[in-house]
Formats: sequence, structure tokens, C-alpha cells
Amino acid sequence: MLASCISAEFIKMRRAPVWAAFAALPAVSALIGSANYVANLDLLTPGWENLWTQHTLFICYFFLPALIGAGASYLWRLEHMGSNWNELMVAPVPARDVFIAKLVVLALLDLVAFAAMTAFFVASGIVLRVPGAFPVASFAEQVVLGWIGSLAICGIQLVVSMLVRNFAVPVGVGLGGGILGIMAAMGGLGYVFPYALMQSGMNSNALVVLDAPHIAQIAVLSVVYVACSVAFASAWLRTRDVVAAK
Amino acid sequence: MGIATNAGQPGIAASVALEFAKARRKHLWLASLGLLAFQFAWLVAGASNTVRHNPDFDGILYMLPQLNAIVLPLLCAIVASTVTDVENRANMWKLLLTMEDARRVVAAKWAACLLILAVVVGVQTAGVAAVAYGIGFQQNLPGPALLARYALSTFVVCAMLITIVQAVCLATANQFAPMIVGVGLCFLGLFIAYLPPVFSWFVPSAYFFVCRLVDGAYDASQHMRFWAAPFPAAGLAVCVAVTVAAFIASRRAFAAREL
Amino acid sequence: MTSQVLERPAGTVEGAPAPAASGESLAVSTRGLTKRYGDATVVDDMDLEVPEGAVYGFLGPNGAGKSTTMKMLLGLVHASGGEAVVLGREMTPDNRLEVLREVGSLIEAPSCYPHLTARENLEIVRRLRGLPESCIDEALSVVRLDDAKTQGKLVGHFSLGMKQRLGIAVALMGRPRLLLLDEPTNGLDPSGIHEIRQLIREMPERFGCTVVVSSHLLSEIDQMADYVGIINKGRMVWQGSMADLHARARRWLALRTTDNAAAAGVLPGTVADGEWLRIKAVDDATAGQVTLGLARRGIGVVRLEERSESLEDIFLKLTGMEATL
Repeated sequence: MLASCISAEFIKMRRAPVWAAFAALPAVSALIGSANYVANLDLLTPGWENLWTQHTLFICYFFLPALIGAGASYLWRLEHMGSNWNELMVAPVPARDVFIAKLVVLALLDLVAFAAMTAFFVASGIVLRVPGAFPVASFAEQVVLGWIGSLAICGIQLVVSMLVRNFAVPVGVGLGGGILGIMAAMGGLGYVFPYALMQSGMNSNALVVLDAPHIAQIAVLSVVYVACSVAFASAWLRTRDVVAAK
Repeated sequence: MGIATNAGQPGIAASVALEFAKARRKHLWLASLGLLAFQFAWLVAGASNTVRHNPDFDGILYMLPQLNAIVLPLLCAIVASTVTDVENRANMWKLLLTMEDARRVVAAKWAACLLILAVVVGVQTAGVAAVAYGIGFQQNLPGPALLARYALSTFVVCAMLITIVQAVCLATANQFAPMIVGVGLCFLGLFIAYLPPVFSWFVPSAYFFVCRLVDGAYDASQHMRFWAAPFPAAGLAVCVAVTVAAFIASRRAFAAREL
Repeated sequence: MTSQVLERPAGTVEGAPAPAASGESLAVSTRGLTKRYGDATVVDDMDLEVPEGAVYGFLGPNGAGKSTTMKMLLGLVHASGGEAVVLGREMTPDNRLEVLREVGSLIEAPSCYPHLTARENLEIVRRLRGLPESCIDEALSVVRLDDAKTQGKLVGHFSLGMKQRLGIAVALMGRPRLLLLDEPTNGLDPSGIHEIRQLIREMPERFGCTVVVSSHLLSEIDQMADYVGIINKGRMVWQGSMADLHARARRWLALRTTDNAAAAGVLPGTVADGEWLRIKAVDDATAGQVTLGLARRGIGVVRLEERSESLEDIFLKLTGMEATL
């Protein structure tokens, strides 16, 4: 049941420009970040840590949440247009599976971004001959934790795009959430606020403490936020009258 | 869908008023002022932190272009997309274009976006003044002339951004493209600022930096030193030129389209 | 008894559009109107003639070019060739909007803002067309969207039928002189179809307008229209009054006897049709003689009926589609 929902979602996403966007953002970020790294070698201490900061600082704070918002809007737009809602809701699948299927696709898009980030980071580092051994362990931890943390954003943005039938506004919510994430981290809630989890996990500015308790906290809370999103969306889809177009 | 004539359609002011009527219940004001509120909260948080050890407002003025580059291009994209997309969702173009000239529709939507932007910039400028005078900064507080200059350059840059995004909105029915352009402009604008200043002239959203009020650099002792930047006549002129060119081109392209 | 069994009635040459009744002015006329997309010709040399004050049915299978023709009349699509005269004026980019002020249209799906109410939708159109405020109430009452329950509802919550009615209200608001309606009963239930059909039939008399209705449903056009233009693959195949179209129907007599084989031998030019025999349509006196003749030979006539081609048969023949169905 869920599997067929998921495969249906992937069929809907064929030839979608979204995939390219999620790969392009880290690519451009890597390009400019590398240029910045090279240009500021006298100010920064050369090393993999600083290159990571240059590549990911702005993505993890602002632009990946916004892009996730755009991806979520894209996933729901197919339903918001015309009377697709009617077809979707009479399909013999539970409401929960409908939402989860979209969440899986969004998480995968997100994974594409992280994979691209990784690939470009490693490639740039090699090309720029960054000194020091490649910090495999800590880097893997940051990428994986960053992705897990970003799932919370995926869940929340998918709910927002489901409720708001305007394509653009949820993207603004993504950006706004990212800004709130920074403020939350400043205020000590960096391991709690959903938009801050990814920021903390990626540890872009190398200021975050990633010991075992904090890692667990990021992972667990991310799962909790995703679960809450799924629960809320399922309840909402089940109980609201289906309104095709608004 | 050819030469614009007044005969058979309402005046431009009425057309603009209609754009606002169409955007009812689209939460346009909520979205734009809401995003602005996020930016403001962030500004206040940062400024409150700074004022404790450095009562010089120049530091805040130096940061403003960065805050604007992160938020305003996306805000412009949200406004342009909402105003334009309202016709796509309603399947409305083929009816609308029997009552209103295509070029007039583009102009009215553009004017409506600029009006919203004017309010947003006005509110933001007031917010900057409130932060300057309300939190306890002592030095280099912005007077009316400086605030007016800030409002003008911010508005002119935003007008350019909104024109560019509206052109994308008119070209494609799917609003994913203009939103990516909006996010991309935020992104590029922010990043380009870290490269040598000449690069900023090639990225529309980097003009917040080109038209900045206050410039700065690290001195020998790694302290940031600030000074007043000259009036950005050249930067504003480029913005206006790009705005006009993009507007004319997108209007012409849209009028030539068939349904 | 003549040898010809099934005879064509005298009338227009097959395939040539009939000229409009002389002396009538035309609300819409086109000469050689053509639209090409690359190599494909979607509308081919169309000479449309819509008499003023008529309900003109624009009939053709899906993809025949009806919507494209209507869009060209509205200036939404640029014609590749030919010209169009709407309400006595040749459409140019300069006067287009002025002419269209007197034209109401509903093309393909109804155009309405789903996040606004019906009244708000009409208000926007009213302001664009420069009509007085009373037009809104009139339009809503004509399509029966003026009940209290509907007032506060957002159009996005409307049923398909209600949206279609709103689209019609938008088109006829302000009593335009010409209405172009593209498949106006699409997606409606039978009572809705009946209602809209009635409305369209009454429009020329009630509102003093000319109505061009396009449809792929023959039965619908049959019930609504005074004049018909049949289009297939972009070409006008037949154009004329509904009465003339009906007159094209071939008529014949069908009979069943106690011994069909013997009857067929007696009556020359008979065509067997299953249990029935077909003979040429004749007047009452001759028919009486046929039955007497058969009776004299001991063949009893069990059934004798007059039959004619259905409008559907005529339509299929004109559009060359009998082979496919």
C-alpha cells in the first residue's frame, strides 16, 4: 500500500526540474564557497573545517530550508491544481500513506542535496589541495546528522505546503524558519528547535558541540518532529472535507 | 494582443486596484510583512547583542545589506509570484485578455507589486530607525536624510528584483521557477559579497551591497573600521536601467504570446 | 415504382457551406480564416456566417478546431490568414478590446478565481467591462446563483455545475450583443444541461443577443440551435439552418411481410434489411397501392413504417466518420 503510494509519487516527479535544483544549490554553493576560501586564505586557517564552513554556512541556515519549502510546495502543487485532490482522496489508500509517500520523496530530494554537498566538498578539497588529512569520521557524522536533522524541516514544510495553497508563501516560511533557527541557537535552543537541528548537525561554523548526548538529541527530536508532522497531516487529511480548488 | 489602447478597458489606476481585489485572501500582506518580521526579529536580536559592547550603529548599518540580501529577494519573489499566479490558478488568462490588454495587465501587476514593496520598505526603514534609537546605540545614529537614502536605494534594488522575478513568473505557469530564482538570488547576492566588490555589479541581489550606506574593512589590528559610503548614483542608475529593460522585454514577450 | 430506392433530396451540394438567408445581417463572418501551427493546419480556410439574433451551433468532433476558431474571433490566437468581422467591425489590434466589450465568452473551462466568492468574481469582471452594479444581481439571478447559501461561498467550493453557471454568468453579464460559449454544458448533470439549454435557447429573445455555441454533442445542438456549422479537421463541412440540415435526412419506407422473399421479388429495387425490407419513400396513395399489390399476390403486410436518417447519421456522413464508428 505504502510502496505503491511512493512509486506513484516518483512517477509524478518524473522530468521534474526539482531534482536539478536540489543538486544545483550545493554545486553553486561549493563553487562560490571554494572561491571565497581561496580568496581569504590569509584570514582563515586553511583546512577541511574552514572549507566546510565556506561551502555550507549559508545553505544550512537559509537556503536549504527555503529550497525544501519549494520542493514541498512542488509536491503538493500537483494536487492543489484542478481537481487532483478528489482523485487523490478517493484512491484506496490511507491518508497517512499519502503524506508519508510525499515525505519519502522530499527526504530523497534532500538526500540528493546532501550527496551533492559531499561530492563537491571532497572534490573541491582535492582540487584546492586542502592541507591535513580528510576528517572522514567527523565529516560523515556531520553529513549524516545534518540529513537526519533536516528531516524535521521536511516534515514541517510538507505540512505547511499542504495547508497553504500558495506556492510561494511556504518558501518564505522555510527561510523564516531558518532565521528563527539561528536565533534559537543563539538562545540555547540549538538542539531543540526544528530548524536548528540541521544547523547543529552540520556544524557548519564548527562551534557546535557534537557529543553523544547531543547527537542522540538531534536524531531523536528529528524523528519526533517527523512523527508529529505525519500524525497531524493524517488527522487533517482524514477529517477535512476534500476541497478541490481554493 | 497588440498595441495598447485605452479604448475598451479601464484606466491604469483602476487596473491596479483590481490587482489588489484579485489578491484578496491570498495573505499577501501577511506573507511579506511576516517575512519582514522574521528579519526584524533577527536584527533586533543581533543588535541587542552588539549594543552591549559597541554602541556604534555603523556596525549595524554595515550588516543591513547582508540581512536584505538574505530576505528581500525571496520576499520580492513571493509578492511577484502571488500576484501573477492568481490568474494561472483561476484559468483566467483567456477571459482576462478579452477585457484587458496584455501589456496593461503586465503593467498593472508590476505597479501593484511596487506599491506593496514601497510599504514593505517603508516599514523596514521605520524598523531600522526604531532599532537605532530604541535599543541604546549612541554613535552614528541615522538622521532623516540617511534613512531616506536607505529607503530609496532599498526600494530601487527591490524594484529591479521584482521586475526580474515577474518576468520569470510570466514566462512559466509553474511557480517553481520564479521561487528558485528568488532563492537563488538570495543565495548569490549573499555569497558574491564575499568576493571582490566588482563581482557584485553582476548579480542583481548584490546591489544591496553596491548601494550600501556604510562601508568597512579590517584594519591592521584586525578591528573592523567603518566609514560612510558615497551616494551610489552609478549603482542606482544600473538598477533603474535593468528594471526598465526587463520590464519592457517581459511585457513585449507576454503580449506576443498566444493562448 | 421507380427503381431508385433511396433517393437524395434535392438541396445543397455536399460539402459546400450554404450562404446565409438573404437579407439577414451577420453578427460574425469570417473569410478564409486559417490557423497553422508549424506544419499542422488546425483551422483551414473557414468561412463562418452567424446571422444576427440566432443561436448558432458550432458542431464538430473533439479536436476539429472549434475552440481555436473561437479564440481567433476573440483575438486570443493570431490567425495565420483570412479575416474576421465581429459585430460589423473587422477586428484589429487597435479596436479589439472595444469590440470585445460587447462580446461575452466562455472558452474551454470556466474562468473564475477560486479564492473569491461568485459576487467578487463578477465584480472584477464588471469593473473591467465598465458595467453598472445592477448587472451583477441580474447575472446571478439568470443563472440562479443568487440564493443566500451561495453568497458567502468561495468559488473553489462550488460544484462543477455551479462553476459552469458562474462562467455563463460572467459571459452574459451586461447583456453583450454576442456570446461565444464553448461546450457550456460540459460536466453538468441532466437537469443542469436542460436548464442551460433552455437558457441559451431563450437568450436571443430575452437579451437580444446572438449566441454561438460549440459542442461535440449533436443532440444538444439539435435542441438549441437555429443554425449549424459543422466543422471537421479544421474545415467547415456544412453550414446552414437547422431546418435545412433535417431536410437532408434521407427518408424511406420499411415494411415487414408474411413472405419477404416473395415481396422482394415483386417490388423492384427493394433492399433487405434484416427482418425488414426497404423501399423508396413514396406518398400515401402509392404506399396504399404497394400494399394492395402485395395482398393480391397473397403476401400480407405486417408492418409499414416511415423512417429517416437520424441527425447523427447525417453528421457522421458529413464528417466522414461512419467508417470509424
